[in-house]
Amino acid sequence: MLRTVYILLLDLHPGHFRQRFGAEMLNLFEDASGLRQPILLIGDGLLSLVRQWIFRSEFRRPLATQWVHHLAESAPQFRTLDQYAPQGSAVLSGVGLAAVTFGLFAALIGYGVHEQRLLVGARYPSPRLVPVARSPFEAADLNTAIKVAPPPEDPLRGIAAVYFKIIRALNVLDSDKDLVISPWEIFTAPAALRKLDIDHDGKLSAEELGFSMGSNSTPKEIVERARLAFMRENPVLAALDADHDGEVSTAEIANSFRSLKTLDRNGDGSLTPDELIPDQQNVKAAMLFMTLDSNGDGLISREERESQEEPSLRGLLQSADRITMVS
Amino acid sequence: MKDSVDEFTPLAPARLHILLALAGESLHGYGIMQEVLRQTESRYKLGPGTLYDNLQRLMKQKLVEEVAGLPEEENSRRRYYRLTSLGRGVLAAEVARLEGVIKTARTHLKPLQPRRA
Repeated sequence: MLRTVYILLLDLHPGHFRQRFGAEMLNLFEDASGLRQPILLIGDGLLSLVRQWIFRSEFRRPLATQWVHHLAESAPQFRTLDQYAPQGSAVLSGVGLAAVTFGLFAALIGYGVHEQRLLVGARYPSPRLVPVARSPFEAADLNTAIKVAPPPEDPLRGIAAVYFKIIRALNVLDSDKDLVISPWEIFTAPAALRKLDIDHDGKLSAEELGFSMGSNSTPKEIVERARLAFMRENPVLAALDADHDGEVSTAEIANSFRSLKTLDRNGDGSLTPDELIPDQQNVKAAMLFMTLDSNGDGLISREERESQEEPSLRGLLQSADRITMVS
Repeated sequence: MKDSVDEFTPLAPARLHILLALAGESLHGYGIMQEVLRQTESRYKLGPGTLYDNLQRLMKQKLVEEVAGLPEEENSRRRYYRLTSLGRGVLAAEVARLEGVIKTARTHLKPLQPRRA
């Protein structure tokens, strides 16, 4: 161990000293016995190291000289007959020539022959490819304008935006407000719908789902009929109110994610506005039926048919097959 | 010659002891260290770093030179050193200088004679 340290110390000495005396110093170290003597020799080596590097510079050859000396010993040399040393003007001329050569190469690389870069998508009268200038700052000179047309507006989106606000069930179901009930929003529908249970009775009434008459003076039976119509006309409420009793029970809330899936007509997993907004023809028919069904029993009786003042409407009801008439 | 000798004096203690050790015969490094120990009765001990640093300078000053080793030690790593004529002259000059110093010292260090009353 101590010998290794001493060898390391010798290695750190200047080359000329190490080569001249290193072997002898190591020989003396190896002759040292015990522990004290090697340690003293290591201290002596440290002092020698400092002395050689700081106070014995006159013995060190310059690095370049050492390198030249090494080359002289190991590499072949070109020999000349004359002792030649270039003049200062010749050196300056060489530097200038090298700079000019470098500049020429740089110019050739930068502006010389290179592959043409092509702009894809340039609209020119002829279908030729247009070379593009290398510098990006020159791109502004191109007479090509690229306009990206906005995506076509879905006419249903405007209606859906209003509709989603009116039908509060849809408002809470559409948590990301993109007017689409995603599969995840369908899956989390029970939790979302429970937020609408304001009176905490475990059920959702038509009012909690968005129904409003706007006036307290409306007769109670009319309000009830309107409430039922509200629950039937809106597909999402009709799906949630599976038993069509005019309210969404606790069980129906729990089963809401299954009920909502029945509205997915295209089977893409999401409910889009066209699957949620009621068909306008159905709305009009429902409004007409509600007008004809004056007693609100869900049936148009003979008396109700005969009571219509409009003859064409009476004729229509007589010929209608879809409407159940009670004599 | 005297001027060239005087430029090397006074000698540092280590160099003086090395030159004194080499005054008798050619020695290798370890031999020089042992001879210095013997001459100084083990009161002055040279380390290898000090020894070879001074040998390096003495050889550059042409006071010491390297000589061929003994025939029986041809394969040894040891190198032998000896005094040059210049080195011997420098050593003689240094000894003379020291003799002067000692003489002067003895003169000044005579015990004071008590004055008669």
